[in-house]
Parts: sequence; structure tokens; C-alpha cells
Amino acid sequence: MASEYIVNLKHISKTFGGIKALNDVSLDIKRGEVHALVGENGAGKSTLIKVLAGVHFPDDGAEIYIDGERTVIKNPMDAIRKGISVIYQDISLFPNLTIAENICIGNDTVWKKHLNWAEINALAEQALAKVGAKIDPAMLLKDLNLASQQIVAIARAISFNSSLIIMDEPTSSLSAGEVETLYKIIETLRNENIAVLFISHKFDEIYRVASRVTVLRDGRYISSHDLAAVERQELIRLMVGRNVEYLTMKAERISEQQILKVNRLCKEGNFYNISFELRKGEIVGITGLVGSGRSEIAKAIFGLNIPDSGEIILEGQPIVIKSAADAVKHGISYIPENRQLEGLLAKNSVCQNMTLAVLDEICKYGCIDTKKETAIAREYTEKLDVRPRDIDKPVGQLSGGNQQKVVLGKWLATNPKILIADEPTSGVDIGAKIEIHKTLRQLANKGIGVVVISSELPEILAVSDRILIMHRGNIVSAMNKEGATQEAILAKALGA
Amino acid sequence: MRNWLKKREFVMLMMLVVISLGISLITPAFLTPSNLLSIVMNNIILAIMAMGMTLVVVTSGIDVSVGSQLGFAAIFVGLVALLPTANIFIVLAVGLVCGVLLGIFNGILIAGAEIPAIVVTVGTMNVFRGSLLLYTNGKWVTSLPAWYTSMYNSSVLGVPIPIIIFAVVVAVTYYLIQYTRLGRSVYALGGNPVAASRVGINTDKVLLFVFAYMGALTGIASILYGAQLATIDPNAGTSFELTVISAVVIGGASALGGSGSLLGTCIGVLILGVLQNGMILMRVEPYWQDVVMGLILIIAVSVDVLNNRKKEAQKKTIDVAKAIKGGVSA
Ligand SMILES: Nc1ncnc2c1ncn2[C@@H]1O[C@H](COP(=O)(O)OP(=O)(O)OP(=O)(O)O)[C@@H](O)[C@H]1O
Ligand SMILES: [Mg+2]
Repeated sequence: MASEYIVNLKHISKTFGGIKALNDVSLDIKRGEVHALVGENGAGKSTLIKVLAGVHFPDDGAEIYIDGERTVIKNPMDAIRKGISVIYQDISLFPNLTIAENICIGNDTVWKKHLNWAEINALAEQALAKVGAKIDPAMLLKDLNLASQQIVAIARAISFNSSLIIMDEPTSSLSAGEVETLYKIIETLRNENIAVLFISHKFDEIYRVASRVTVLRDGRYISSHDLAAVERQELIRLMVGRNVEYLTMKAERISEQQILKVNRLCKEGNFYNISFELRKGEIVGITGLVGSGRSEIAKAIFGLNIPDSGEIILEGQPIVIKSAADAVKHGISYIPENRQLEGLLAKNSVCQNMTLAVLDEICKYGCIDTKKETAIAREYTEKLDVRPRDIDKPVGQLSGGNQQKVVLGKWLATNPKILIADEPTSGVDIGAKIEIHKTLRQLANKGIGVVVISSELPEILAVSDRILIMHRGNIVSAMNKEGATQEAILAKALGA
Repeated sequence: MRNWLKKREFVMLMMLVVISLGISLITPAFLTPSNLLSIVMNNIILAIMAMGMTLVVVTSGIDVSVGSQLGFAAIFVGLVALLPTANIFIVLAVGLVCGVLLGIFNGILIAGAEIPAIVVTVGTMNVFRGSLLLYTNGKWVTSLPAWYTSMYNSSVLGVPIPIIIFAVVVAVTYYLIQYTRLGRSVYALGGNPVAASRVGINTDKVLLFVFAYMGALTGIASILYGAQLATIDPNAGTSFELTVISAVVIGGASALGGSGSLLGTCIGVLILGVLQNGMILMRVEPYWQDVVMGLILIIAVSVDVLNNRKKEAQKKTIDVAKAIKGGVSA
């Protein structure tokens, strides 16, 4: 009889250069279940799945059982042959190859010494059809946007007919519609008795798709639960080791002085008649379903999306912004949503990456003032709780969420007049989210105008002084923080 | 069809046509069958080596030792051709083996010792050339036998032998990169080295192969080199690597790796060949020729940079069906 468990991991440890990223961790996944893996940034989630995927070899003493049988996973292809496929946090595909190749590469059934393109394209089309994607598989992957690349990664994972599919933060680059698709795919997988190991920092998502959960903290195994039997607060307490809740922080002083006014901004197909104002010291939150035009407005103000009509008024002066460089010159900073695209310099240190956007400021006579440089890096690693607190570590060795914090720090360090942050907390854990909220509030208190875009309603409620709600490219409602509730916002966002 | 028009190769082809038209307007001698044939014949060696260099550049590598490799292999081919027992097959084998060995030497250092390709090949460029000069004492290899030198100008069924050899090289290389796992792995490695090892590609093996293949093609080119010139200077091929690399880059291969096509490289070779031929016909001073060649390289790369910027804004989104029909497993 087949074992009840598809995978059992016991006594998994992994040391990177003397530092234990994993310390005697175990994980049991039942056949056909959706299992969530949670923990703070740097807790070791990605490392654990990389051990299971054959990317990292565990330290001595590890025991891996697949289908009840003890085994060793030698390399990533070995894992795939044993029925485990992975969608990595960094996507890990080939931008210069076609969609079909990205799906089939390494798949023994078609990826043979001599390639038969008809076979390859057929398998790819089949895989794409399974996830409901309509696209020409002969297109190059780099011609797709990030979310669509993620869908290709999902199609690839499914095409191996694995019995366990691991997804490392798969929704961090998907839009709401695409997330729904992913949920449906996961549901179909479950119906066919394929197990899914799902890593996420979003609790709504975890409760929606998963039935069991395993918590890691500081590279150690904490516990496993049926999700039906564990409350969200309890889960957070297990992850962080203490109680954490969003803090609502009041503005110290919102001056009457308008720093930014947007007047009847239109862009066909994106947004219509957008007017709002931002005052010094204020945080304006923009929410709405993904695709409602929120990010497009942000890009328009930052010169990445030129509007058809309307005006942007900065401190009383109408300005023309034709490029990102114009925006920066006017003191506008923008933290984009898809920060994976941001290109951190993986081999360079946290310190060098953090100060990249302020090189002019830390240079004296063309030489970098290392004292200033480290001071800035220290300040923001501290503020954003980058772990480990080592500013000389190459960024490539940080966990995904901590890399996100570095990107964030890089832009926060720029000292803008206006800061626009699109999903500033995507991919970071709950503790870090609160730190980021605090940092945004501190910036506002210094007199900066802040615009925060987020689809997470509790976050919008916690950080904003005023909330703009978008629906199909229009601002359908503006609420003051007082009196706004999740229900009211959601109703407006849905177009009620 | 639209897609085809947007392709990089098409842009370069247009550039080639415009340059050719320009030259033929100034010197009528340009657009004659015999001149066009001579352009091709004079650039076969460049073209063969550029095929190999395309693969090297696709891996985001570079090989600046190929000029020295060419001289090294050519001298040995010449010395062997002078032996009384030599015949065409022995000469071919010597050229090929000599090139492959030099390429493997590079490959082992790059893949095995993980030294960057630019560092390794700058080193071997000097090592190969230096040892060649030591060995030959700077002396030329001359009075090569007629059975060898006549190869360059004889034809089979009306097609010159060098063109046949080039055609075979193109066919083999095309098959390799289009229809074999190894060839696609070269592109995968260039596109995302981390992902490449995650999908089971032995990246060291691929790199070793690419440099060995570069060497093999240089070996083949060296056979033609001696046959074409009939005398071989131990300094043969000095700084030729720069021409080879230029042709590949003009043809659209990105120095960042992952992209580059044989067709593009052929067009790159022709652009360089046509310009050089045209300038000679127009009696342009040689120093100016260098300036023009350099400018063309920069223009070609700038076109790429601009093109890429535009593309960033036009990325596609996959349409995902609202409802997923049928099951997931096959
Ligand atoms: N290649 C590596 N070299 C050195 N240290 C590493 C390497 N990969 C991971 N680490 C360290 O291991 C620890 C765990 O990282 P991991 O990526 O597993 O975290 P995570 O739980 O996935 O976090 P996140 O939610 O941010 O993605 C981190 O402290 C990280 O810095
Ligand atoms: Mg991770």
C-alpha cells in the first residue's frame, strides 16, 4: 500500500559558511494535501524546499523519505524524476528561450539528445492548456510580463506530472485575476491527489488554499497544524514568537500646503479623470482590485506612463513629466511593484545596494565617503529589520523577503519630496510589514507626501490618512481614515 | 510576417543593403558578380570563425585567443603539408585536432578552474603566440605544395571548395543549436546560468564544448588560411580576434549572453566585408577604414540598446481562461 505521506523530511540541517540556516527541521506532507509553509523572512523556508528540490545538499544526519521510502536527492533533475517539481521564488526560467522550451527543458520525455520540435511544442501546448493559458508557445519568454512568466513556471511544474508541486511565494507577482486562476489550478491539483507545498506571507491566501500548515522560526521547526484548528493570531505568534498586530499611526501634523495635485488625468484604457491632492506630511492610500488602474497612475506620476491629458501640479507649479529622470529631478521617488525586476546587484553587498540611489550624496570629490555610506546602510537595515544585520553580506545570499527590504531601503534613502510606494510590503513577513509602515509614517512626519498603493485592506487602513478607492480606472470614492472600514472599502472597490 | 520585420536580423540586412547600394552608386565596380564573389571568398575564414564565436558570446563568454589559435594551427598545418608523405586528409586532421586542443585548453581553465573567459583567453592569446614564435623563431612557412594551395581556388560542381566547407560548417552549427539538447543548453546557459544547473544542465561540460568547438572551427579556418595565402607568417591572425568579435556583435549577439544567431552573424560578416571591399575600391585611406569599421560596431550596438528600451514597454500578458476545463494531469 502506498504511504499516507508523499514526503517526510527529518533532521534536516543546512549550514552556509558556518551559519545554520536550518537546524533539525522536519516536514511531513500528506498525499494530495495543500500544505502551507510559513515563517518570517529568513526563517529558512526557501532553503528547506531547495533541500527537497535537490538544489542544496543537506548536512549529515538528514533523512528524506518519498512515499515512505528512504532516499537521497542528488540534484534538481533527480527530484523531478522522483515526482517533486518546484516553482522557485526567483522564477528561474530562461528569458531568451521560447515558452515551449522553458516548459520542456530538462523533461526527459521530450528533452532528448536530438530535439523534435513538434513533440516539444505539443507538450508545451498541453501544459499551457491545463492552466488555461492562451499564448503562442513559440514566443520568447522575455516578451512576457512577470506575472505571465510566473504562469509559464506553473505550467512547467505541472507538465512533469509530479506528485508534489512546491510553490515558493507564487502570488507575489500575480494580479488578482491571475491569483484566482492559481487557486483554481491548485484546486484541480488537489482533486487529482497531487500535493502542493505552498509558501506565502499572505494569511488570507493561506487560509483559502491550504489545509495544513508548518511553522518555521529561525531555521527551526516549531509545529504543524490543521489550519481549521489554528487562528490567525496564534499562527502569527508561532511564527514571530510574540503577538503582533498592525498599528494604526496618526499623522503628527498634516500641513495645509498641497505638495502634489493631480488634475483630471486621463489615459485611454488605463484611468479616467483622476483628480486628487496630497498634502505635506500626509499618507494617501490607493486601493482597488489589481487592474483597476492604481499602478498605472503611479507610473504616470513617475513618468513611466505618459497620460493623454490632465495636469500634474507640484507645489503649485504645473510640471511636465516625460520620463523617470524628470520625476526624480522634481523630487519624486517611486518604489515599483515588481521588485524582482529591479535588479539588485546580487554579488554586491547590502551596503552597496542600499546606497546605489544616493551615490551623488555619499560622494565627496568623486570618491565614496565610506563613513556616510555605512551610516545610511546601517540606518535602513536597522529600520527595515534586514536579517542578518550584516551590511557586508552579498545581497544574493539574503532570503527573498530580505532582498525586498534592501530594495525598499534603497528608495527610502533617497529623501524625496514625494514618495510613491506600490505594494511596499509584498513578500515581507508581518513583523517587517509593521516596521515598513512605521518607516513610511516617519517619512510623512518629516514632511514628505506619501502615496501607498496596496491591495491589502488592513494595511491600507493602518497606514493611510486618506483612502482613495479605484474601480475600473476611476476613483469611485475617497474616505477619511476615521470611519473607513474594510467592508465599506471592499464594496466600493467591487463597484457597488 | 510582421514579427519577422521587427527582427534584429532584418534591421541588419537593411543596413547591409543600404551600405551596398551606397557603395555601388559611388563605384560601379562594386556591383559586379566577380567582385561580389571575391567579397565572399575573402571573408570565408572570418565567417567560419564567427560561427564559433557566436556560440561563445551566447554563453556570455569571449575568446580573444582565436587570432593566436589561427596562427598556431596554420603554421602546424603548413609544416605538415611540407612533409613528403602528407596529403589533404592528413592536413585536415592536423588543423582540426590542433584547433580543438587549443580550444579545450581554454575550456578547461574557464569551466574547470572557473576563471573568467576574458582573463583566460587574454592569457592564452599571449601564450599561444609566444610559444609559436619561439618554436618557429619567427620564420615563415613558405613554398607550400600546390596540391594544398590549389584547394582554395578549385571548385566542385562549380562551387568553390571554401564555400562548400563554409556551408558544411553552417549546416552543422545550425543543426547543433536548433536540434540538439547540447546546442539549446548553450543558449539556456547564456540566458540564466543558475536556472540552467537547476534543470540539469552540466554547465561546465557545455562551456568546455563551446570553447572546443570554437577551436575546431578555428582549426578548419587555419587550413583555408594557408591554402589561400600560400605562405604563413607566424604572426598570422594577430588582432584578427577583434574582427571576429565585431562581426558577431554587429550581427546582434548580446555581450550579456543568451542571444545571437547564425544568420545575424553572417550578415555581420558581410557588412564588414562589404565595407572593407567598398573602401578599397573607393581608395579610402586605410586609417579611415579602421575608423569606419569601429563606428559601424558602435552604431549597431546603439540600435540594439534603443530597440530593447522600446520593447520593455510592449511586454505581453498571457490571457488566462476564466474557467479551467478538464483535469490537470494528462
Ligand atoms: N546561498 C546562501 N548562502 C548563504 N546564506 C544563505 C544562502 N541562502 C540562504 N541563506 C541564508 O539562509 C537563511 C534562510 O534563508 P531562506 O531564503 O531559506 O529564507 P526564507 O524563509 O525563504 O525567507 P523569505 O520569506 O524572505 O523568502 C537566511 O538567513 C539567508 O541569509
Ligand atoms: Mg524565500
